Amino acid sequence: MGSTSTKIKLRTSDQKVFEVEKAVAVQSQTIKYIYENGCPDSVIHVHSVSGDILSKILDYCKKHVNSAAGKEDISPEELYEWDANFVKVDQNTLFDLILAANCLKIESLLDLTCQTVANMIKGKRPEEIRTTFNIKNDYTIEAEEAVRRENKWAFDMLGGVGTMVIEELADDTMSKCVTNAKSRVCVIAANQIVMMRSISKLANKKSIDVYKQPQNPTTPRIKESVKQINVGTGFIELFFHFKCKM
Amino acid sequence: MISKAKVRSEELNSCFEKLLMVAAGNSGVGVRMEGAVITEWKDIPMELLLRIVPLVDDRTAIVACGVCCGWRDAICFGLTQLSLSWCRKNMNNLVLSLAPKFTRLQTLILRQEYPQLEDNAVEAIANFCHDIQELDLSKSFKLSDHSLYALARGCPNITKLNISGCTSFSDGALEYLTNFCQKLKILNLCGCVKAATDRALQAIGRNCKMLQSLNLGWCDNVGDIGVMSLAYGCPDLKCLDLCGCVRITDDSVIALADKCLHLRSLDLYYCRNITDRAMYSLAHSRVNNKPSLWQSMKGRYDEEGLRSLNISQCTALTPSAVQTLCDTFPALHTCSGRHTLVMSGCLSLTSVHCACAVQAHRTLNTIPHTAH
Repeated sequence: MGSTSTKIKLRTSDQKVFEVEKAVAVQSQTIKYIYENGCPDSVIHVHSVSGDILSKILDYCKKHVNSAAGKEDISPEELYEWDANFVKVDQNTLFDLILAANCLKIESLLDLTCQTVANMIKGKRPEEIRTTFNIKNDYTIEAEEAVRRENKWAFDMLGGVGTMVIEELADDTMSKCVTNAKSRVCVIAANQIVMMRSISKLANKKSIDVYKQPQNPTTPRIKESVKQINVGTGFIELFFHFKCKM
Repeated sequence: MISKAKVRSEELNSCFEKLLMVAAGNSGVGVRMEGAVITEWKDIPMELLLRIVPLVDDRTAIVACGVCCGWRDAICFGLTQLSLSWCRKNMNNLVLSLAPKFTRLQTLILRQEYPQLEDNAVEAIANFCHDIQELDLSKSFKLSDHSLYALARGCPNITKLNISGCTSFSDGALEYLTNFCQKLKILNLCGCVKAATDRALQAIGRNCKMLQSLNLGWCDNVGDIGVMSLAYGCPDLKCLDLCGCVRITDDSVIALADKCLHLRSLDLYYCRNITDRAMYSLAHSRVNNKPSLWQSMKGRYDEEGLRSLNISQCTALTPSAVQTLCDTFPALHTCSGRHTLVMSGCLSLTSVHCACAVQAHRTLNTIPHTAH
């Protein structure tokens, strides 16, 4: 009697109980370990995760299990888009997600959240990172001075004329570079959805050549009109070649 | 039985509790245990921050250190690889400022497009980063011997060193370095004309017994004495680049053939003194050193032997000698897909082919016969 699929019960820090299919729950290596080495009938206490966060995480696990098992007809690109939308949350929630994914040992979610954070800090200066993540500056005055000097040296490369290759700038920096560029901007793109949107916006103001970076490094780069680039499909690196005086 | 299972699940739950970190976040009731509640990004656990930092470029990693003390401490503790090659103007300042912080660096890439690095920066690295294993200082035109002396004293664990293009280094300083950095496996001295002399090579042969790869490109002070010392001293040598080392003769190659049984890659571009004697010595050494079955099972015999050979501009060579060589080493190819036997400028060697090139040629020739 009952359904053929096993269910596992999870209780969160705020005493909410979730009943999920085993296949979904064991996406978490921690839960899998406990389930396999303990009494299967008891409720597993997920003390450090709240109901809201666990609910989101279970959505993620379910989506990925169903997609892998073929229960849901979803292409890799669509799953990629789904993941991208999944992490479009405020930074508090993102923080909770990343800690929970770490506790529960869900590798793919950990990769996704870490990459999201990485994208959020790329190309930014310390003040911008602090603002994004609501971090208080606890440096002493001397240490802050040293940080300021280091940043000046690190970002100094943007001064000067010549062809430069710059990886993964933050949006506003990139906008500045493109606006100031004396000649054509050529972009080899990109998997960051936010970046691609900025390029689309700028394309109307400036002549921009966009080349798609192929997955196989030996195939030649394909030039594409910016408007045609599907922001959901992506490649790894974003490069700029430009002549610019900042 | 039931009580046992219950106890186990209690135990496991408490293990689970200990494993878990606490995240109250802003979305639920937090549970306080064994320390502070983690609610803020500044307290993000080190292992997570160190999972994020490798996903960003090196400049962002440096910037992230400047965000707050917690991030700085985590990154400085965990960062083991750093490249500053993207710096155009201020690499020296950055190294001086960062070396005292990143004391656990193992790999440091300081290859420059515009020469910036000075001795004081290398001294800082030597003073603070004792775990360095891989160091790339290529094209540091401004460095003097002081840097090598500093590295010798501070970084004895170096296994991979690239000082190509550092034209100011002298052979005495390089010799001094090898006395202390005996774990060297990969050494690039391309263009170090003053440093790569027979004296330095003798020192390398004496001290760097684990050496596997050496690049002596365009070091025209290198002679037979040096290469022979190298061959006698470094039995593990796999890759040797003698491109432009115009003084060497067959004696060097014969010594290498005799002593370096793991040799995979040899570059003799422009070594005009090389004759067929050298080619035959390489071929014979392989034949003579084919071991018994027992020895080859122990893995000492390199199945493929020479995989890559450049004899461009070695115009004294004749086709029969080179063909013998090609036949002896199955990994040497002249076919277009895997061109590893390079003979540019040797107009007399156009008839030399690897086995697959011959096979392809034969196939092409038989096709017309089948179609009547």
